[in-house]
Amino acid sequence: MKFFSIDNIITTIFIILFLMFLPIFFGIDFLNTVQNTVQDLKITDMVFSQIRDQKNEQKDTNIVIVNIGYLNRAQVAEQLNIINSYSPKVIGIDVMYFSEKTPEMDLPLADALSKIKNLVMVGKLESKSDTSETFDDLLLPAEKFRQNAKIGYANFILAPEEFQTIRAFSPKEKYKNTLQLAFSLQIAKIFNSKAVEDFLNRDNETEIINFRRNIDKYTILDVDDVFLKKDSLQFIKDKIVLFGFLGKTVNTKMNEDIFYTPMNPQYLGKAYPDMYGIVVHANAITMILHKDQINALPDILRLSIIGLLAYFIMALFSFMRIKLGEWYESLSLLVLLIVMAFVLFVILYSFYRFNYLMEIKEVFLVFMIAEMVSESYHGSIKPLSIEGFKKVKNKYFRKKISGDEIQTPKILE
Amino acid sequence: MKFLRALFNLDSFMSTLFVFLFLLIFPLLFSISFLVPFKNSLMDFQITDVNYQSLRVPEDVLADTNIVIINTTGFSNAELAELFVKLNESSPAVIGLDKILKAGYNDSSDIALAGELARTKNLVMTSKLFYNSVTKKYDSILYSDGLFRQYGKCGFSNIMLRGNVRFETVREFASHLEIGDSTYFSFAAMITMFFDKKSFEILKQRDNETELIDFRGKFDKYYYTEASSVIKDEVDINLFRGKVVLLSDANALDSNFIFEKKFYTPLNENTTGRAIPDMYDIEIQANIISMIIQKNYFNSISSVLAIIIAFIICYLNMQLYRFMENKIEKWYELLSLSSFVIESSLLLLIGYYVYHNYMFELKLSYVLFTLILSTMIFEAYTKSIKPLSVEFINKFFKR
Repeated sequence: MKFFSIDNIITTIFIILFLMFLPIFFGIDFLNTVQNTVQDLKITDMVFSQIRDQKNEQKDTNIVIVNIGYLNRAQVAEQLNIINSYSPKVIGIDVMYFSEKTPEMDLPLADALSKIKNLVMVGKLESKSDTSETFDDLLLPAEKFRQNAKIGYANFILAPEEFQTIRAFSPKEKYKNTLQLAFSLQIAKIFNSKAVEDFLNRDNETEIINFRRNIDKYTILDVDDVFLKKDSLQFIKDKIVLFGFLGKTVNTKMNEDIFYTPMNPQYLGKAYPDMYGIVVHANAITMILHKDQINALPDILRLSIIGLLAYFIMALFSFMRIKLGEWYESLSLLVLLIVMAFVLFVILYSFYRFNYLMEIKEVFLVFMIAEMVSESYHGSIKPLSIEGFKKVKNKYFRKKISGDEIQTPKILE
Repeated sequence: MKFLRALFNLDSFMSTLFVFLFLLIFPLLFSISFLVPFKNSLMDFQITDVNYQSLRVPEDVLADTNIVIINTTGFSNAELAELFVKLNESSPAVIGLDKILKAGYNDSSDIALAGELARTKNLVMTSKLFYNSVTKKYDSILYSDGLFRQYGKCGFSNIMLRGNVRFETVREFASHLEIGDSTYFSFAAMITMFFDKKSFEILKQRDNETELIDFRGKFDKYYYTEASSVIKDEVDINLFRGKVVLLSDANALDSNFIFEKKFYTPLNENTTGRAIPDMYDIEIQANIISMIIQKNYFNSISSVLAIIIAFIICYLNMQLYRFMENKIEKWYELLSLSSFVIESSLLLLIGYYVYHNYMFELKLSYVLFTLILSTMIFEAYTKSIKPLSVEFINKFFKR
């Protein structure tokens, strides 16, 4: 029994063809729903969501998040003045102050912003079409607000097929021959420029965010806290302070600037979004400062591994079919389950232990159909093809029983 | 006799038994804690949801003009009293107040509200049942303050979810619950009792523990208005005459809502996978009331019957496989696969057709699951388990 055989190659090709045509199958209207669920699923989300001990994760004490709730601009200015009086290292504002309002609202805000030593505000890169790879516009805060500010774009990467699920961000983007940095990088750069330099040297187009913390793992100042505790905020000195929306109060989860992340306790199917945008930025900053980046398999390697595993499982089935005899049917299922569990373990462990992401969920589809393909091939397709081939051969290329002389094919007569 | 002998075959029967045994054991695999979300997601999936997504045309579903929903978000008791003054002037058939009212100490606004509630002819107030996860029963109930409650009938407005799992799709409701020696009716049932006694009697006679909800639609399928508009006379109060008027804290126009206030329903754009909850409690109640009034009930076969049918179909499949394997061995693998695809497609089509056109649920999930497993188990049994068992018996017992 050879590991490399034509049968194994053919069955692997069948499987690859199946994977290629699967999206067409799921394109059928009523199967769309199944497709949504499959696309939503990322195996490594189990690590973020269930396997990592989130309760014992260390709090990041470098970052303080201030909830602006539904305060107006003048009230946010008050918050800023209080926070700024405690000399934080940098203040980042994740609120889109792109338009101007009345002077009573805008002047206090502009004044408060002008007094901040290190200020980063959000901009927004925009494309004319969803498919465009370059950005046509960079929306900026109104001029009176941005005098003193560095701008970082707040865009996350939201794949259309992944409903509001954030997994990655782009650290830098080109816009009209200028290099723009993401909001999180601009802030981290002021706090620790070396860490950002190292991060950018990775030269990845996109970076997967290593989500470890939600609001319980950052110091949070709710809307009223800033005003009520305004005399006792000394801990803010030299910290990163992020201003953003965390609901009307932090205890109410609202459908505004909120996203699904891999940390969602319900990693698949219906659930409420679990993280506000400002906390996503905080996670990206923590990751950069702690040099806790995620490395991922390059696509070519990912596809090669899927192909190799498909071949391996087909070869294993061929081997078992010949060697195990009557035990084959019973054991094949068991062996399949063991192989699946092993691959699942490798994927989860490499991510949990080494921050190495091997997103090869297609392998499990391969495993699920492997036995069916193997049996259809060996039980039907191969014997029927041989039989058909023999019939054709006998009909058109019949040999004389005695031997050497080949009868003229009928078709040529 | 020959026919009966041909019809019954021990191998097919045993293979079918193994299929059902597997179906019993399989869910245990998903009890591992990190796979529980996977299990929840699978359990929430219902193939009949496609009825709302693909078969029904929302524009073709008529609005129910019997029901008016009024948003009372942020209203104090004093403002509610003002609202009731207007509503009582317009003589609605019944007012349903989906809000637990609390009273302050000797508050004049509470007295005013109580006075208006006393003037209301047919008033149904909400109550909330509390589930005891230890005894697995509803064992306590929350009402509005006695000052208000005395003027209306109460009905529980709980949205019943299996094991109280919040992320489950709402598909059914309980019209009544027996707690101790008492029978408690739901908010929707109590409202129909006032609005249309005959429809209420039909609901009672059905005597089902739960009923599938026939969802008509969201706010757009009912009259909807803001309470402030009613007070400011911006709405013609004749609109409420003879109608079911439902009051609740549900702002249909605000896209920034608190998640806990909404539920997932089959009308959600995403029936599986990630989704934002799509319907307020009061929208669901309006759908239930509308369904009871219009007598649009779904019927379904019992789970026991569904399992028996699944068993019979699975058995017949085993017989088919046995026939194919004996008579056309080389074609068996291909034909068994094709028969699975054809049978499941047909079953899905029949299931959808009957559900959509006759409002009858065939509960075909059991059959589908058995079909998925049948080839694999048939082969494992006939080619492996059976010969190995025979060998084992011969070796140890017939020496």
